[in-house]
Amino acid sequence: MSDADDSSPIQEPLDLVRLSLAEQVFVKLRGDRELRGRLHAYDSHCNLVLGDVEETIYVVGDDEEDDSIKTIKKQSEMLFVRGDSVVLISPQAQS
Amino acid sequence: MSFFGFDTSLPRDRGHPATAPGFAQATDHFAGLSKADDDDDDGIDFEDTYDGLGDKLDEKDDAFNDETFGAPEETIGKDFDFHGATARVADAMEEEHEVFNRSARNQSVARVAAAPTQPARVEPPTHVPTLRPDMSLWGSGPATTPQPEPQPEPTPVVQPPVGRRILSLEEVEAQILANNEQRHQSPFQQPPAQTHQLPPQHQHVPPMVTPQLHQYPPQQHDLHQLQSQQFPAHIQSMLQRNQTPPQVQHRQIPEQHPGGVPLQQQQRMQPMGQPLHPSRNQYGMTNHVPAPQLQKMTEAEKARFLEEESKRLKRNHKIAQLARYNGLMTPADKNFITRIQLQHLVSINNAEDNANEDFYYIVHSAIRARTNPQQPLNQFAQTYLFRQGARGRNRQQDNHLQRMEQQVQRAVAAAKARPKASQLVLEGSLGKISFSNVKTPRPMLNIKKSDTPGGEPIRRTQRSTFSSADRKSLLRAIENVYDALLELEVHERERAKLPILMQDQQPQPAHVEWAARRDQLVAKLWKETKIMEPINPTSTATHPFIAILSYSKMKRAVQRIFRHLDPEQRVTVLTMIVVHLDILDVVKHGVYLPDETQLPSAVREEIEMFAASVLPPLLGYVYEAPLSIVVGLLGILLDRVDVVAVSKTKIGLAFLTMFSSRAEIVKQAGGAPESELQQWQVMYDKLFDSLQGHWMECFPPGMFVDDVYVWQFLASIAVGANNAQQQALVSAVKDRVMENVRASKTLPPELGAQKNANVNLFMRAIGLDVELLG
Amino acid sequence: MLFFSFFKTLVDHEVTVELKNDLSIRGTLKSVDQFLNIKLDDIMVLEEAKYPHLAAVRNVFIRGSVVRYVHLPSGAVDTALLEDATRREASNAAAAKGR
Repeated sequence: MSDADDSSPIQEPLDLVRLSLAEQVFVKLRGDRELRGRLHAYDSHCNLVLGDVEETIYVVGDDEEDDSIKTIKKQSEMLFVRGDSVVLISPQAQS
Repeated sequence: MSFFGFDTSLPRDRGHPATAPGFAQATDHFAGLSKADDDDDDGIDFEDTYDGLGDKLDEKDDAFNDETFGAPEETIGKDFDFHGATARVADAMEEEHEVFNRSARNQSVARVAAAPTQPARVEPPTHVPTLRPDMSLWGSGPATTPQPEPQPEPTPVVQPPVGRRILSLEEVEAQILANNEQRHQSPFQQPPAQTHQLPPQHQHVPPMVTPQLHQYPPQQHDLHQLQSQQFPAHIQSMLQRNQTPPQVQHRQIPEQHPGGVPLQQQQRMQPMGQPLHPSRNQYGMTNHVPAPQLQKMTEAEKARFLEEESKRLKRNHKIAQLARYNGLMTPADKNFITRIQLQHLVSINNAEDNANEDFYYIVHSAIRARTNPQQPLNQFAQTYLFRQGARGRNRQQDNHLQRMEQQVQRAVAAAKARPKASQLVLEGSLGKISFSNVKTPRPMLNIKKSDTPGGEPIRRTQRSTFSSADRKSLLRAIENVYDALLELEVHERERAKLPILMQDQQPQPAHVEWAARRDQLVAKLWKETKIMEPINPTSTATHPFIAILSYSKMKRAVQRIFRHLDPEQRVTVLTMIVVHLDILDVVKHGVYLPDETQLPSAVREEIEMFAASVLPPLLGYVYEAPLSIVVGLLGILLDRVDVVAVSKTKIGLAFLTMFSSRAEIVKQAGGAPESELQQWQVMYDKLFDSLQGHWMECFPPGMFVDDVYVWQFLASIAVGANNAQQQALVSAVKDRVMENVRASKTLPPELGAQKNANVNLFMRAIGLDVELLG
Repeated sequence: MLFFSFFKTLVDHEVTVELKNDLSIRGTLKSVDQFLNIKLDDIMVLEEAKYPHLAAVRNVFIRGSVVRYVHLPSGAVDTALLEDATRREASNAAAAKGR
């Protein structure tokens, strides 16, 4: 993708995150967790502040031999996420 | 009796003013003391001595005002002669205290050290009555008292050498004594309360208390303080005033019960026949010396006492001066001032690390401070201390870091500055051949690509085609807008740091520079909004500005951007939006589908955001705009936009309402040229005809929905309608009107009233009312 | 400095810190530093039965690196300002990198 404007060309991956400010994003974290929420802040460590978040935790069934995966969902009004857990950040196109 | 403009309500009616700590504290001292005497059997019980005159006093209405102040026909000026009046009153005060003194002496009251009581008396000098020495205590002093020249010295400065004051006091005292002897026979049957000059709230206590407290009170000093409290500028004059006949003052002050006691005491007392003892020639005050012993004091001791007293008086006087202005500021005021001071401290000391590092915190606390006037000062103090601490602690680390950073920067700059001669260019007769470089792959290709592959934007100097469909580039554009906006706002904030420009001053270079930079930034911002991109009717791509406006963050930004634009730019924004009115996301998606009763929540949010962020500044502009602009805009709208489709949406109707209401206001205000009015009329009729037959489609589906905006629109249209048009309107919507009226009767009162009000908007515009419908 | 600045404005607010060991602690944020270490007062562990370790503890100091989430009251956050602060931080970082 070439950069068509002179003001601030996209130089590094985090610039893409900047485009998603105030938009819905999807964040994958370590420990089989995912977050979906509105991105309000980030920094170079990938610390994040998300609003109206839904956290999804994938839990593998303990005793059974079969790979049953349960999900636990939690909601939060406003959430700070420490960057060292973040694996990926992706925009989530709204309807 | 607000002769002086004072609040004449009694303290018990007025309630205690909590904002005057000094007074409160002072009264407390005395309050405690007075209670202590309740059980003193040797004391005089109030019931014994009260002569009932106080009860008879009618103070409710200002009944005796005429009597007191003379007939109202005379012009009663408010330029009051403080000196004279208080002079008159002060005499009466002294008499009373003399009476109290005598009574107090008869009791066995522990002698309170005058020194601690003096400060207490000094601070709120108001409530302290003048106390005079009872000359009978002092035995037969010198037979002659110096007869002073009763020359009032109108010097407001109270710092003259104490000696001079003492002498004058002495003079005055002597005069008083002389007068007292004459006066004691005169009837004291006037309402005793009136002999008090003290402000009402302190009068209950002091007369009873002070004589007990201060056996040998510095009566002249009290007089001085008393006067100083009420008429600070005339202290000196008070002290050296002429002896005016005291009877005149008696009618002035309302006070009942304590007044009765001193009165009777006075009557019982022997007149003071003796002049002041020379050892007490200053104020008639000594501290720990009982009266009979005074005569036995040696000369040395007397001298010592004189010295002490003079010092004490000086100090008291200074305190009185300092305390003169107690209670001027409310705690809220002090809070406010302290807050400002702390803010200054914080900002002065933190000039370096302003918005760059601590942006969120600084701006956030600034916003909170602005909206919370009563915010505790802790936060400012916290910020200030925090900054100080941080700077001290991290200075060493920062030094290293800074040095490293600088070195890195220097290295980078050096690397950049090195000529990029890494491209080897061979020039031959057939053209240039240059070898590729990792860093600069593209310039090697000298072939100019004229056609762009499949919608992918290529680098061009002019961005004539803007790939609006690309979400990423839209978002990029929005972020560029924000960058420019933030830069501009930071620059605006720097304006405060410029030297203040007085009105007639020439703009200094700093200001000129600032203004130039500001214009530069505004131009950059304007460019980033892409508003000036030409409108290409043949292209299917949405106009870039309209495209980015479909995002919430851009809508929010519009409000902030508007503040920095000049009127021409503002009308450009408005025009651009109007031209694309039916393409706006909020309008395009704001039309209800046949089966829909509610729009999708995302659309609703966008509509709300638009109404809250974009409409207000546009509205503000339109409501100041001349009629010609409104006519022009409506013309454009009718030409290029599908009015019917637009009218089915909330935002669309909002625009139409905006224009028609503004036009009506201008029409009714008058002053618009005839040609413009005619043009407006043409437009109006065109609008009306376009919407004729579609009125009901303006309403959102469903009954219990928010349709206020529709009624507002209909009202704004109806105002300018002629009879035929009004009839058409009414017949079109009358069903809905009736529905609403019926519903309003069955609904709970609030909703019903709401519905009625909505319909009434329209009805009143036609000249009808909902009431007429029954 | 962005999040440090951000947390400074949240001092004296009640927050819930979820650690990487799944322990959730609710308390009043009293202090924060540049490493985002956190001090909480008057804490309460969220699943007390499961984690009785801190029953007797009133105030804690939490090392920043062990934090997974901090749940915040949305009313205390000015999202528009946060976004602007983030943009500034990003621009400054880009500028400082010498572009």
